[in-house]
Amino acid sequence: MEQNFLEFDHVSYRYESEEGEPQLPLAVNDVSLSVKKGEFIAVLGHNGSGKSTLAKLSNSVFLPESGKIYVNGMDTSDENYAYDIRKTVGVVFQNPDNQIVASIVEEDVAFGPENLGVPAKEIRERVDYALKACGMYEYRKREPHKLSGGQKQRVAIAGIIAMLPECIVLDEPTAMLDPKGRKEVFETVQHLNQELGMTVLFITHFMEEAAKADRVLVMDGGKLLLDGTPREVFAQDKLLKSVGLDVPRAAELARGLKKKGIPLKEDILNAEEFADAVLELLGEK
Amino acid sequence: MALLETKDLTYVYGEGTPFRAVALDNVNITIEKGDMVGLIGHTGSGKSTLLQHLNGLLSPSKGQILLNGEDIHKSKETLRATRFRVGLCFQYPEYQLFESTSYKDIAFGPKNMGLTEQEINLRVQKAAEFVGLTKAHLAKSPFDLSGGEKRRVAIAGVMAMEPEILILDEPTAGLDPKGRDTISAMIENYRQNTGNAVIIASHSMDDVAENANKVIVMNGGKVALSGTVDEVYKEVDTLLSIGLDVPQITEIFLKLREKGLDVKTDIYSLAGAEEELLRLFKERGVRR
Repeated sequence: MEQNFLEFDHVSYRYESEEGEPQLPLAVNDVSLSVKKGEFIAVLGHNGSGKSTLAKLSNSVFLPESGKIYVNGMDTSDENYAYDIRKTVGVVFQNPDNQIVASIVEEDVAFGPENLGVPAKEIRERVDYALKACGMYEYRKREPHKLSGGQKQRVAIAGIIAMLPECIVLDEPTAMLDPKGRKEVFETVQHLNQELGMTVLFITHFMEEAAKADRVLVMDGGKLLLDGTPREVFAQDKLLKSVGLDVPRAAELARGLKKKGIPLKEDILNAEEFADAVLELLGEK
Repeated sequence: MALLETKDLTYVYGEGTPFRAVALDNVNITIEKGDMVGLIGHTGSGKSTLLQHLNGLLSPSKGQILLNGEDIHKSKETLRATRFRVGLCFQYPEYQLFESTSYKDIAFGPKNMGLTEQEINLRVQKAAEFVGLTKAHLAKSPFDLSGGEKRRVAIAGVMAMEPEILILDEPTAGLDPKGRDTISAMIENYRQNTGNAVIIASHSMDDVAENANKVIVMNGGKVALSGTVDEVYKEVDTLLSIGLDVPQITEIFLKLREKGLDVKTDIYSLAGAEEELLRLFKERGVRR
């Protein structure tokens, strides 16, 4: 049997309450899921749904209260593996300004491998590789604070790539960016997944981004509410809206027209598919 | 007379240095009472520089900002008064909270205005109501609130000054879809109840299409387009040429046109899209 790359087995987690305060509810509640190597998974959910907690559980920053998490077969609760797990799963956060430590782009990217004790010559190779993978090689001598938000975020991602992880977890990496920066970062992550075979967990509030993933997970109140292909998940528009989420506009428009009796095809996700469905209906395809 | 007006507003960074850059280039805009203005433009378009001029945080290199016909830089007094009459709420305002309770944080603005304790209390209650904060929220330290609640405290802090023009830079950035809708509804509620004008800077063409009655598009320090939502959104080519995303709905119609169908492309709302498609289907004899 093929081993799953990442496995959550009935995982629950709760944050510690302040002294004297009552216990907090579970932030992640009995979640089971498995991720195969090379998958691109989007995670949706409103604020407080447990998405970010999921991210921090996946590389043993948090340990489950009950249940088990395995990364490449390594139990995250086993301290002996902590170092290897962090090397295997890299995490990128929302705010690029909080993740940049050095005053020159390439030095920032070198920070991770330096801490791993990688020999100097290899650091050079890794930094160049990571910067090229993220399309930031031309900016290697620049000062990070003079870059745009999207560029800074790509430097932060390169910093993770330089540690050669097998999986990269991104916690709303595009939330603070403008549409251009958002596109740059999303395309960079797609490239890492498609060209370098990296496993991706992409947490986002943007439905258009989630629609491009292999698989979408929807979290609500700490529980895993939906797990399926974008098509399967976005077909559940009522359920999604009830938990404060949206469906892509093309899907919404198609559904509205169907209600009015137009026999459009099911599960439309984007403008391209919508246009094709219209042509098909008109017999032009 | 317009409530707020800029006349040939020009701003140059680093004048006399090699880094000289024109951030605003002869910008003329007018804001009327009760307006809900969507200000669009990508990073570096001059959007934020413009906003910082409207309440006098930056002084123009050339040109004027008139509030009720009076130059806001006329004297120190007019400038100080402008700060209360034009309220500016920055991006990610929750990072600017600092008081020990949410109540005190919201009261900070009204206090600076020199209002009486009683009036301050009234203002705080009213602002809290606009953004849906309870008594329990007000008693808590803002640092013990959730991200969305913190954002609402910060916005309430500006609303409590009851500015004639409330300016918000990306008020829904980083929020989930429900959070975005909630904040948008609260801002609209403020506008309707007070009759004051609101300016929202946004990257989202979809959000602006739904909420604004007037749209200003900035590009390269200039006003590229301005007018009603209809007037601006039908300029699809201009919007695309300056690198803005067209609304997702418009994208569908551009695709249909690209594939050879004779459809309008100046459509940005769900309702408008349904209407146009139903027309097309009827014309082409598609049976329901």
